[in-house]
Amino acid sequence: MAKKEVMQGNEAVAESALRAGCRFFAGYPITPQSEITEYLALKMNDMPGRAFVQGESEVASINMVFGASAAGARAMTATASHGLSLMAETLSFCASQTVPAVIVDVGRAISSTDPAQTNYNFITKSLGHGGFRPFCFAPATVQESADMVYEAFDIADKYRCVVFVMTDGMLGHLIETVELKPYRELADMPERDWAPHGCGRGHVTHGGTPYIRGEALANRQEEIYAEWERDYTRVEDYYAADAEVLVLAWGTVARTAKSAVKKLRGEGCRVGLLRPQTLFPFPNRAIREIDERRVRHILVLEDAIPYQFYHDVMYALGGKPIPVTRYARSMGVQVSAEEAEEQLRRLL
Amino acid sequence: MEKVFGIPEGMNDKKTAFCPGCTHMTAYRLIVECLNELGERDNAILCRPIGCSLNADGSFDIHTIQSMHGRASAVATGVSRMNPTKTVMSYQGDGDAISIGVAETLYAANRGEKMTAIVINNQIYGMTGGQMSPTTLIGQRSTTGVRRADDTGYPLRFAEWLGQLEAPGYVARAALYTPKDIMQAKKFLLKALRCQKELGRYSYIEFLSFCPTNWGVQPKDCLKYCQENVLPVFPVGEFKSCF
Repeated sequence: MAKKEVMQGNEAVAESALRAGCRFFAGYPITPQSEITEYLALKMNDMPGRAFVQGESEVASINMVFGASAAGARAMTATASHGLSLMAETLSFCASQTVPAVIVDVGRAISSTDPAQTNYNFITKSLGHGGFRPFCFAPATVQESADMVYEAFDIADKYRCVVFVMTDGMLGHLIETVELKPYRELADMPERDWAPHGCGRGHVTHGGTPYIRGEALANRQEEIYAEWERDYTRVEDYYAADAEVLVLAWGTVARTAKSAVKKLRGEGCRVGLLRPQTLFPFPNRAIREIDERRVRHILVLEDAIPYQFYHDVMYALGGKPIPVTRYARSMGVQVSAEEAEEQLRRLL
Repeated sequence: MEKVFGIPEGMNDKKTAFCPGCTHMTAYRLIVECLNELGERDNAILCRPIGCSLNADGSFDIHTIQSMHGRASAVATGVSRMNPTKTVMSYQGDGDAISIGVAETLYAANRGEKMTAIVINNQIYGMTGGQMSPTTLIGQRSTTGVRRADDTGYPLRFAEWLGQLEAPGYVARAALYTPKDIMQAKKFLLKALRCQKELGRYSYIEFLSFCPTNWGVQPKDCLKYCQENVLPVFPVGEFKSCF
C-alpha cells in the first residue's frame, strides 16, 4: 500500500495528473486554482518528455492543450469560473474534433474568489457552442479529487472526449490525507494512432483527425452518453437506504450536508444523503429509484442561485410524488452545516 | 528533354476553391518546395487556421492540425513542445494572426517557440467577404467601411514589431507578386525553416498576397495596385536574421 500523504486539494490534483501520465499543462493564473499551475510549473519542465507553459491567457492555454493533445500527448489545464468562459470556444472544438482534454475547474463565485457551484450548468450541459457534453466528475474529498483526475485521463483517451473534474475553492484549498496512485510510465500510455506524426506520403489529415465526421460524429456522441450513463454513473449513498428525509447534493455542499446527516443520525433521525460523484452522466436511475413509499421528503442543497443542480434532480424524479425542498446560497456564500441541519430538522 | 518546372512532390493537380488571381497556392507551393529541399515534409506538422487557406484542402501532403480562429500559434506551441524534433508551422491570414490572435502570435514569438509562423497579409478578410482587417490600407475600401486613421487606426506592421523582440531568430516579409518577388520569398522561407530546424528558434514570415475578389481589383491590375499602394506601407525585407 502506498504511503499516505498530507496534501492540499489543488496540489494533490496536480501531482495525481503527473502520475496519470499528463505530459503537457498550460494554464493562466486565476484564484482559486493557482496552486495547480504553480505546482506543475515547479516540477514539470524538469521531467523528461513533459512541458509546462504559462499561457498568456486562458484562451491561449486551452489552445496549447489542444495542440499538445492533438499531437499525441496527455494534456490538461486548470481554471476557475471566469477562465472557463474564455476557454469555451476551444472546449467545443476539442469535442467536435474528438481531441481528448482534461480540465480541472476549481469553481468560484462571480464576484468573489469564494467557493461556488455556479458552473454546474456551464459544464454539464454544453461545451460552449455546439452542444457537446463532457464527462464530469464531482469529488468531495482530496482523495477523491486525486483519484478522479487520475481516471479522467483514461476516460478522455478511451472516448476521445473532454473530461472535467469539478472541484471548488473549498476542496482545492482543503488539506487532507491522500494516498496517491503510482506513477505511470509515459511509454505505457495508450497509443494515439490518430495523432499527426509528420506526414506519410500521400496522407493528409485534418482537424485532429476525427475518426468520424459530420452527423455520424454527432450521433456517436449520443451513443457515448448512453454508454456513460449505463457504465460510469456513480453515486455515494450515505444512510440513504432507510432514510425518510433524503438530501441530494454534490461536491463541497454534499460534504457539508454529510456532517449534518451524521449528527441527526446520532439522534436517531432517519435522514440520509445521495451524492452524485458524476454529474454527467447524471445518476438519473438512482434518483428515479428512490422509493416514494419510504422517502417523505427530498432536500436539494447547492451553492448556486439561480438553482442549477435542482432542475436535474427534478427531471430525474420524473414527477414522482415526493415533496422536494430546495435550499441554496450563492455569490460566494456557502451552505453551512448548521443551515443544512436546520433545513433537515424542519422536514423531519 | 529535362523537366525544369512542374507540380512539386507532395502536391497534386486537384482543383482548389481559391478565387482566380489569389496567391495562397503560391504560398503553399513554396512551403512544400522548401520542406522538400530540407527533407522535412515527412517530419512536418502544419497548424492551420480558419480562413481562406482552408480552400487548399487535399492539395498538399503535410500533416495538418486544424486550429480555432486566431489560435494557430498557441496550438503550434503545444504541438512543438510535445514534438521538439518536428518542423512545426502555423499558417494564418492577417485577420487571424494579427487581429483576433495577436496575443497568441506575439507571445509564441516572445517565448521563442520552436516553430515557424507563416502569415498571409492580403489587407482584408477574404473568406467572410471583404471586411476591414488589421492590415487594410488607409483609404482602402472594405465591406465594413473605408479605413480612415482617425477612427480605425493604421495598418499594423506586425513583422517590424516582432523584429524588435529578443527571442525570434528570423523575421521577414516577402511578396508573392512577381516571379522575382516569389524567388525572394522562397529564399526567406528557407531561412525561416532552417532557423527553426537548425537553431531551434522562432521564425516569422509574412507573405504579401493578392485578393482581387475582395479588393475589387482585376487580377491583371493587382501587381500595379500593390506596387503603388501596398509596398510603400509594407516594405519587404528581413527585420531580424540569425544567419
